Amino acid sequence: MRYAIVTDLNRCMGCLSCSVACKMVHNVPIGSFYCKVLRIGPNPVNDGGNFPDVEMYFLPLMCQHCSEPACVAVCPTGASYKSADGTVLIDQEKCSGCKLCLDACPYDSRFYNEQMNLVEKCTMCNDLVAQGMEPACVSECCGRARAFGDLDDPGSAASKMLGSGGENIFSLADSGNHPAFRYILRKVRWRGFPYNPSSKEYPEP
Amino acid sequence: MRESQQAQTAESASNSSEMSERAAADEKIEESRKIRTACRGCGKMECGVWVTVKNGRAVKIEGDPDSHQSRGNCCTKAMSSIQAAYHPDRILYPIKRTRPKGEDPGWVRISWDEALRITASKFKDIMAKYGGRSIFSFMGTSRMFGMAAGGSFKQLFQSPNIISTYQICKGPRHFGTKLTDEYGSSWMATVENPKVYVQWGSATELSNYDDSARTTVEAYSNSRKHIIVDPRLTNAGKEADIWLPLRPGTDAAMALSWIDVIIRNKLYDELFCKRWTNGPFLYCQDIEPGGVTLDNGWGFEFQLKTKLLKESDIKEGGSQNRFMVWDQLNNKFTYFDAAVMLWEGETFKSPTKGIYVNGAFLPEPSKFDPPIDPAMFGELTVKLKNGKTTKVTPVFQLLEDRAARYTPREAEKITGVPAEKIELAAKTYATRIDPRYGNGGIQYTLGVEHAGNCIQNVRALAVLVGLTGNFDGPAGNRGPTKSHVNYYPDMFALGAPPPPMEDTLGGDRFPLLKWWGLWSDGTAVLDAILTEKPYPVKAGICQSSSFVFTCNNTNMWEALKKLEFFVVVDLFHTPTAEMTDIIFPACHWLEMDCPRSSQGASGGAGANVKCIEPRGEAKPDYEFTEALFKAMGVPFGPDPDNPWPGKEALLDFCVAGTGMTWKEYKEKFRKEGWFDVKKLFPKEWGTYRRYETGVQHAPLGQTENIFWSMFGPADPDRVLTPGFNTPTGKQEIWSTIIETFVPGRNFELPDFTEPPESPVSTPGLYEKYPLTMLTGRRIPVYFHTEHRQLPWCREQWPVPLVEINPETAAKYGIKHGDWVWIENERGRVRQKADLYYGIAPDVINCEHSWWYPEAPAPDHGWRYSSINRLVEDHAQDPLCGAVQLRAYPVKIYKAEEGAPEEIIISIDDPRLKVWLSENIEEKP
Repeated sequence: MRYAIVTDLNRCMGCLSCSVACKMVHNVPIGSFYCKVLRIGPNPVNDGGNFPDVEMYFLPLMCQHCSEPACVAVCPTGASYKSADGTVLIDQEKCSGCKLCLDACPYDSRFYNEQMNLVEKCTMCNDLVAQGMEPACVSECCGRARAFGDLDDPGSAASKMLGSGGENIFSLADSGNHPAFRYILRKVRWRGFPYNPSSKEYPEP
Repeated sequence: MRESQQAQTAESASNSSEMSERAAADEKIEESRKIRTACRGCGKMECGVWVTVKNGRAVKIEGDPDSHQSRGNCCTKAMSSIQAAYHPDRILYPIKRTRPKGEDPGWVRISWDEALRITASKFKDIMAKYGGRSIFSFMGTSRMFGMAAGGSFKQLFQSPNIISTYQICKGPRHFGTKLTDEYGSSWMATVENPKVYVQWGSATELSNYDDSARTTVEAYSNSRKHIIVDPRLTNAGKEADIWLPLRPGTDAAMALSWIDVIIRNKLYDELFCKRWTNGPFLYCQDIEPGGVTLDNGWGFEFQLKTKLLKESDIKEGGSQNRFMVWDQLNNKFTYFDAAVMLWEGETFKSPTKGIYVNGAFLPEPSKFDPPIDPAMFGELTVKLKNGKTTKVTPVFQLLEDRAARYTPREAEKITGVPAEKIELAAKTYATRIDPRYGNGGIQYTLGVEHAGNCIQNVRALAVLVGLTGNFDGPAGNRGPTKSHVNYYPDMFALGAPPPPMEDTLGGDRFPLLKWWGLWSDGTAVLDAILTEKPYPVKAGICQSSSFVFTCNNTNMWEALKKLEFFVVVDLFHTPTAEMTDIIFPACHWLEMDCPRSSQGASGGAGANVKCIEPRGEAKPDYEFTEALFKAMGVPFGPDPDNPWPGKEALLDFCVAGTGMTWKEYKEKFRKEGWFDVKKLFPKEWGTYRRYETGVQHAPLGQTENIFWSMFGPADPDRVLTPGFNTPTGKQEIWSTIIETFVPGRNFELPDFTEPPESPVSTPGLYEKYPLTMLTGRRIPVYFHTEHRQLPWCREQWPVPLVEINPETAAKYGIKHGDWVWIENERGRVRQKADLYYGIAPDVINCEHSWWYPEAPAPDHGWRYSSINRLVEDHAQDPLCGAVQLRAYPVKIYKAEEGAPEEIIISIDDPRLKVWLSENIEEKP
């Protein structure tokens, strides 16, 4: 079983509703995010080119619920774990707030909650899913750009959306952690996730 | 959570008169429940939402997937609305200032009674001294509140004067379409899935305004072709099949170029043009302009003065209502009679043959009966009644000649877009995919209203929609949903007469304002406050508006300081509110009942259902409006024996057209969800081409009520007549109203004029200020001036950004993230550079409406970044007076001093957390 979210980036127009829905549902501390949206570009279609031959997409970014999560591997207390349905979770009771996982995550998708001395991140709304609902970033996505489900089940919404991607399916850079999430991007060059974990810098948008 | 509940209890207790009612209500509140309602987080789109209420407190807002008009859309502004309702800075009680204007006001709490008493007596004094016209209304974009300023306050003071957002936003679209065919036909039925989706100067994917983001994404994803006309790469524009990146302010040249391509390639709907536009009517240079007496639907009478040939011009005793055409089938003149809305010899039969599309009846186009073939091209000779022989030309020929000045080759020179691309876009839009009806409307919105030529932009687009047969067609420009559900209970006072329009400020410079009746010129009001000319303006009343939206902000601030008396109804301490004498607390949309219906063409009717108790002493705006009328002794409701009938009666009246009481209506909505107006009112909304069926046109002997649903249910016995609510009864390619009010300026046909300031009209200015500045793009988390104090919004978008092409930035030594000055001779403001390849190197794009709630009163930082400090007040559209708010020249340079002090610039600023609802602590 592999729960994941698939995002059709041609339907994502950067409205930020996923990010705010996530805040609303999880009461994420102000200034921190489980889910944020990056603008990739606009970039000239051809190197050295300029307006109006440009292209752009938006990238909703969050924990990718990897199948070999680096954050789980480095966690000294066993707080970070991979659950049977594929969701990567943090057991708050066990988390000591050591922050090792922050550096291990290649996608900068965890943050340290100072007040509670623990690390938080996207739970794929496991509480809502347990009640038969979709994650908030999926249900409130204004563009209906996202689908949630078990990628091992060909009938799931996520698998169906993935099926519409054809040759245009991408994932964030994989350094052995095997991200579960998938992105569909047609007509525009996929530029991946331009975050540099070693310098902790995002590129200029 | 616990703390805030206690705080709420304290609020309730503070108002003893409502205590028992609330206690009873509290008892009924279950642990947790979901309430179906309509969002009002932005103000125009009526997205259906579910609000989760726990222990009397709203905790979650999410989309209602059953709401067909918004498809379950729920944007950032909707969700963050909770933070506005429970914001620590909300205004909860009437307050009055204790210090002079321009200083921190030193607000002190007063009772509602005292606030109303002071307000009424001040207004009465000023009316007695200077006349009602010395008081202006200040209108915002309406939350639940705000629309009294658009109508009933003007009635209250018998003053035509208003400073209105409407003059620069949506109003020009309505003004231009009312001139052309139907009030508000700019609204397109995007929900009906256009075959070709054209988005023109618009970003409904972010604004959720006029159409929801979800509807917009589905329209562009599912349409055969997706065309974007916009100077910069927009968020939806990244997906366009054809993008026409035109030079800012050249929209009419582009639209006329499309018209040229469409006429040359015979892609127009010929039967529609002949039968339903005034294209075949004959223009005659040699006749005296004349016509019948008409009124504007709100009490203003005028005599038509047109040089379109009438029977009275060629025959003694001929009718001024019969417009002549040349019948090339029978080689004779015939006429269309606008008095009975029929062609010579015709009788009206509402069409019965047709097909169903999108759940609505699409009548087959009617044919001329008896058969005629009105000529649309060439030149004809006619003998006038004085015996003189002269030439006449069909309007359509004049349109062809006009459009021919804007061939794609010519338009390329003006707009900068390659001719081939223009030709391709025009053909793609106009070539029908289904021969029975057009490909859909054109989604044109705010972008066409801000560069000076706005009424003509709108007219060109409305005509383009008509030529291609997309006026009131499937997914076409269908105009406002006709639902008989009035969602602005306080916009018009049925018990009070309309305000006199004769001495409306700006009426001399913009004579059409008297006909239009819905705004005076904002600049003229501003000038009158500052100079007392042509007469003094001494006081104002504002509902949910801000002075930063129009005119030059620096001038506006000075004007506000000068007012003898000024009041506002609002939720927050905006800079505008800080310049008033008294502030009245308004209800948040979660706290009140109100009918709701699609403003645009989305076809939904529903309700705002009260979800939580009002905080403090906040009241729904309609209650405030009625209370103010009562305090001043002016009747509000239509019944002279019961002039202030109260909330329930008001709401009952609003939904009377559905045959239900408000209570019944609301319960039905809560149980069954959004009404499909096509089913609810099949004739009024569930039918296309309503010019064929007679529903489009006002009943004979009556003129169109501009806000017809606000005047109660339709008369079931009314006599239907086909056609349009224009003086000729046709879609007016040639505007007889413009011809009447603004003669001799050559504005009768749509045309392109350079913006008042542009590289072409003011090249000298460009030597000093080399960049053309755009502004007003939609920010996903803000609605104009709103939401800067909501943590979920502000942390997404802490500061204003100015988009600049990296090549241009390099030239000026500007790096991504640098604070920069944007400057012209009128002022300068700071915003933060965003290097953006999606904008032309000679254009930059600033954000609008910025102020900083965290900065001290009274300014709250409006001076730092509000882009309208750079505006020239008197650079205006010549017809409606809308100020040129964008596409003017500026320069840009790095702000060595960085960001303004006092403001939040990063998301870890602790002040963001202070704004959380858990910090509610009621102050006395």
